Amino acid sequence: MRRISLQLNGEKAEAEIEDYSTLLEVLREQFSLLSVKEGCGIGECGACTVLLNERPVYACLTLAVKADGCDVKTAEYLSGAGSLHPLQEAFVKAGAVQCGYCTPGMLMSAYALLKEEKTPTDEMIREGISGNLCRCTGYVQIMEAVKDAAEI
Amino acid sequence: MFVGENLERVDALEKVMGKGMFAGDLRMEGMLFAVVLRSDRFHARIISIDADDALSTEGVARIITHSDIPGANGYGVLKKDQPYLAEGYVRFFGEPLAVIIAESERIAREAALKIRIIYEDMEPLNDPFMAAVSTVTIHKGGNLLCRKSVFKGDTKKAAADSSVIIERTYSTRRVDHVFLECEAGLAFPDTSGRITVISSTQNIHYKQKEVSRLLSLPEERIRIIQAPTGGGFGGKLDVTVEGYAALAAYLTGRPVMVRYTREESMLSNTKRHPLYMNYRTGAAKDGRLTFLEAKIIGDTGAYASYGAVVALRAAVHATGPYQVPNVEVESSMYFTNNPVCGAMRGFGIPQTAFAHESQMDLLAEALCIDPLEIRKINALRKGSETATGQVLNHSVGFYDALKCIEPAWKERKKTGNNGFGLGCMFYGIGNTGVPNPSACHLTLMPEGKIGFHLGACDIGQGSDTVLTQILLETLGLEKNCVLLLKGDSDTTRDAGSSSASRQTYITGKAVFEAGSKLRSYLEEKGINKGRSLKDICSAASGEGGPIFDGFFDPPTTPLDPVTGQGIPYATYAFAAHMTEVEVDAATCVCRVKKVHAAHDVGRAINPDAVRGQIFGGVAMGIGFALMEEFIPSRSKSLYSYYIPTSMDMPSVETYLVEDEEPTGPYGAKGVGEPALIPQGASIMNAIRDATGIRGFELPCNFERLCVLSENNDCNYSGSKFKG
Amino acid sequence: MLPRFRCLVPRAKKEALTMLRDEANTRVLAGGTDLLVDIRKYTCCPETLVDITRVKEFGRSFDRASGILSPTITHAFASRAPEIKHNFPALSLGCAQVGSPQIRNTATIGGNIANACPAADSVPPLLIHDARLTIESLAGERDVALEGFLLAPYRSSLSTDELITSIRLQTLQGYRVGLKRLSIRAALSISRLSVAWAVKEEDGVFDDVRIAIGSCTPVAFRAREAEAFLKENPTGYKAIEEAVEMIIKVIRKKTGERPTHAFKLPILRNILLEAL
Repeated sequence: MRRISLQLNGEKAEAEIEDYSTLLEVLREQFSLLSVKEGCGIGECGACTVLLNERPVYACLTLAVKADGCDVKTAEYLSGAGSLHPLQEAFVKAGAVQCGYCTPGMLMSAYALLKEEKTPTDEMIREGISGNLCRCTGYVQIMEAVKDAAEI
Repeated sequence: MFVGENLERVDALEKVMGKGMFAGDLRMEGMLFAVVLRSDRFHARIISIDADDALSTEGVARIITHSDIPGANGYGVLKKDQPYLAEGYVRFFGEPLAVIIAESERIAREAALKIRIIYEDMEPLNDPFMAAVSTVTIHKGGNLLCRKSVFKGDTKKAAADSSVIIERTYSTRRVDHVFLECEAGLAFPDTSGRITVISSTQNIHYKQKEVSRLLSLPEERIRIIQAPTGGGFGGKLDVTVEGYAALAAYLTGRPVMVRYTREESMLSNTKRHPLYMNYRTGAAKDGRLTFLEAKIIGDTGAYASYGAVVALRAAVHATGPYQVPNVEVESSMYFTNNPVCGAMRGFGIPQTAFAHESQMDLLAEALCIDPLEIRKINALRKGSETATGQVLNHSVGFYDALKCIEPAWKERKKTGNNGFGLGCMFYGIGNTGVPNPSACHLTLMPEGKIGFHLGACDIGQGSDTVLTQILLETLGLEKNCVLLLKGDSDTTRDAGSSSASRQTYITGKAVFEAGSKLRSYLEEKGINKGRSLKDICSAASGEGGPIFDGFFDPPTTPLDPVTGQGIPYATYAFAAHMTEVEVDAATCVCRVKKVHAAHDVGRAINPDAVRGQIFGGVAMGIGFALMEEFIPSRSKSLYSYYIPTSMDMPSVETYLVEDEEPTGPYGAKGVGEPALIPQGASIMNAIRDATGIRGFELPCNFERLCVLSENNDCNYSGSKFKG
Repeated sequence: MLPRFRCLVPRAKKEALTMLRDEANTRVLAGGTDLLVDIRKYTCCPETLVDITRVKEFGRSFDRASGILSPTITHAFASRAPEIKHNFPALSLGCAQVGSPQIRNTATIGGNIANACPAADSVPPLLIHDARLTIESLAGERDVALEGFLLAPYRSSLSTDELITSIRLQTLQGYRVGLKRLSIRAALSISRLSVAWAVKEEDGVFDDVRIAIGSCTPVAFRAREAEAFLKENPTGYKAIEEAVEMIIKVIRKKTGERPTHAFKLPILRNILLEAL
């Protein structure tokens, strides 16, 4: 067991973790941040995407130890202030959500992209979410939503 | 007005906030975790299972094998032949052997590693051709699961009169559903001795019956609740975690969670059937189809699951959406020691579409007719007769769908290494030639709302939203007047499975029926004369609370067991896709650039949701045609099984044809499976156009395409591909 | 869920090297995108991981003056940093095509090298840049060329108490640089064949040609023989064709006949003819 401290969704947080705990497990089990989904556990689907120091990473492939002293953001952060983030609104409006399992991870990849690139091209959006698999939507309405959110 | 509007999904808000409480997110005081141990042999006798070390591990509550099952150790939608836990014998790589129940997931998984199994290997049957002739039998009744046929007219005579006959054999591989959410469920007993299971599923009432058999408890003692479900595509129709969770909760008296890893999901889940399809198709000089002889052989894997349905659907749809006067189709399924193949979006038709659409292009080529033209010549239309002898009298929008893509087809321009291909399909909505009713009911709630009791499972496709739209349209009330009470076997009626693209059409009609009754009641009680809904509701509860039920069973007839003649479906969906691909001449890498997709959906209740289905279907079709191939014991997780990413998706133009179906709610049919079916076929035809190479085996990834181009003796010229 | 192991987080190079010497059954953890997957699959069962990403000496990712890269720079950094794009174009091109944004943000160049996967994406571009590695243990330091460092699939000359502590690359300016990476899908995929090249031509003569091929032989390799041949002969289709045949012969010698040659060799031939 070891103690880590991190900035989690804008607030200071501490956790007791095992060396072999993944960030995915710690976020879900200790902080009940259930938006962080496991879809494969090996960094191939993106459902567990979170931001580590503002960059999207797979929480399932990140040992919790590595988050010590870092800034971590999950999809809960987006509507943390009580109202929907423009990206979330755009996802609802564009029909970008079907089963919803990929949605939180997809939102985090899109959020990171828009942080870096205010008006991304279609190709940049395609590339930005290329680490997040979706089996329902064919990505089209997700890409439309990201574009809509960028234009706001 | 609600029908035809892009109502926001009823569950979109909670899902974008990451609050969707999927089954794997659930927690309960005192909850145990159960892990299913599975075989790593294809075909073997089990000599012994030594679980002593595992059982003595601290935190392990219990280890279950088949002898602990109180009821029947077998499930299956058509044939109860699949054991929950093996009884001395394993038939596929992944067969469940034991369930380890422990205080935590880690303890359960670590204990599972300590179980030692001794097998005596047997000769495995790896393909259906071997299974057909082998003296080794996987089941007592032999290796043939079923043989379905459709006969009409006289194909021999028609062949003699045809000016061109094309005969080719096509094959496809196993495909995994890869719903993003792996199977998960939580089961718990209550003080009255009932067992509740909350799971990721496509059908609650069916699961209720299966769990009741398993535990030997009356159905009313079993309650199944559908958790928000992260995709299904047919893979959550069979019993998955429900049986193990229920069994473990029943035997331990505690809540038990079963949540599969991706590895476990891929090991255990049913697959799309690999089909081998020999097609012999004839046409007259003017392009009219004269006959079809098709022999379809499928590998259904170790257990029956939906194999017979796939065999039958493949036979019934073998012609594609065309008028073929003489038909002889034989479709067989064999047991093998491969993973169980079951239901997957399209039930065999994405496979047969690959065959019939390739045949159409080959005929067009032989007759020097434009590929779109030959499809128009033969298109099913009002008054046409299908292969099963059904005369289509209404809602046959196939010709219109072809007209939708005609401008794009005519304007297509070959530049460099691109190519264009067509793919078409028809698809019978609902189950094949059997009753498949749906029921729902409405109540008046004292708080002044309509209780919408809905047993249909929304698995992401959006049925909750679409069915709510149908109800609101029927009632003529505002959105906030309805409270959706869904997916609970205690409070809803059997709406059948979310499969066969049936929920909008069948349950939609049941909702319309219930809504119409309620509307009359409300009108009678003066809703149009200034009386408020709240007032009517509270008065109604004083009168014992009336219930308004809706029921619909589409009019079909059973198919003749020998000739396959009859009316298998009340209505059909139709579609035409046109795909542009670009194939790199140096590397054979194929990228799908653009898709035009036209669908006759009867009526688009929610056009954005229909578009969403089409986009998703296009993606799955790209996977089917270009990359997806499940290899037993080798495709273990998403590193060894690829589905399309955003980078693999083209832009997609959709065209909605609304040739209304008179028996459907507001004219609607279905689109879930149709969206996928023609896509793979259109890609293969486009690759042929781009490269001169025709693939007869899916998936046609760059490796296979390169080998084909190396060996190709076609007469195509005009690109760098060898000819 | 991962099996149990210990994870040590040294802050200094010496501390890391001491751990690697003193602890039994250790593996170095950098990004972890390969290692943690192997651990989950039980193809690798270390008792102790030594996470080197917080080693202060590795903090400075790129030294402009010496062209020295830290082993812990991520693929994302290598694909984006302007100075790397400028000086090491093949590397940044190669790193941009790896996996997905999430993988690129996590996976390190040093880890990619040390894992010695035949399909490692950064290796062919690094070979093009004539990468040299500084390898240290408590016993001392050695300097090796990447080319000889990789021995077999998942095996290099790195011993368990050693660390790659820096990567030195030759800058390539005025070269035509390219990379082709083939995979079953457009992102998030293992490369099935990758070819990197850098060419400098003048007046119908190859001043310099560098060709590296990955995912084809047990170890990615530089086509030295063909490179020399091309430099000695005037550019032209015939010479190029001959050079390509030399490369194919080398591959056949390295691997023997393989079923995957049915597609790999023709495609490789096409790519090289097009590239050169």
